[in-house]
Amino acid sequence: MIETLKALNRIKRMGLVKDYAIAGGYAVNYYLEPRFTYDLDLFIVLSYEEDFHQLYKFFRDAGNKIENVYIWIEGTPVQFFPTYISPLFAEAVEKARRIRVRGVTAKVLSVEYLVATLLLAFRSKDRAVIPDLLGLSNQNLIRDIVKRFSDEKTPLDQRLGRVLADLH
Amino acid sequence: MKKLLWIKDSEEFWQTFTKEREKDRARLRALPFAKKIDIVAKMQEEFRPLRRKSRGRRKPIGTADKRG
Repeated sequence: MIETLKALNRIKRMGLVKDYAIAGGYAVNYYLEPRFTYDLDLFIVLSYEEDFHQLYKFFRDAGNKIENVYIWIEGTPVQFFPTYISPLFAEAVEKARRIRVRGVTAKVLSVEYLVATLLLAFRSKDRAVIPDLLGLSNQNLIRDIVKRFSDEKTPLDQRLGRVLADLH
Repeated sequence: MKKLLWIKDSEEFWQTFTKEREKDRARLRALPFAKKIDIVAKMQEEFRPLRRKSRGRRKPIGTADKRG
């Protein structure tokens, strides 16, 4: 995984991606006790939407295994989520925490944006970790994020309400 | 956790169990991220042979359960 982050920093320096942040299971592991995750989910900022194709082409040409939605980078299956698919993702990368892992710099979603993205996915495994993450977060900030990014299709505010109701 | 072996009372057992488990979770939570990555890597090594046998497709992000 550390080697994967090094490779990602290289493609960032090359300009293939403008910025990225760790999301999903690895971000959950950053804040909570380690639990199994298969892949590394990354939110990536691209200059142009077409750059997403260029990114896949770059890895395909470099001989990286591409399997289903994953690109294998240094032994880790990586799933890229371009931030143009969601304004929430774009803001999450912008506000992400800068971290250093064994001398390698990276960014990880702040706990508040992580909760918001888990409310967006809202699978049972996402719901299971939200209460613990809420305990580490600024709940006013979460409410603000959730309010701004809720819509009919993804009622993040209602989902947060359900999680909080289950806690009491 | 050894003391659990000697507790006969159900309520006391679960109280001690919960206390010990939370202590362990807090210890794991406080580990540096690099160490957590190592632990996950070990879990993945154990999981990979199983995954080779059954390859399912992953649900895309935003695919919520039916309750919406």
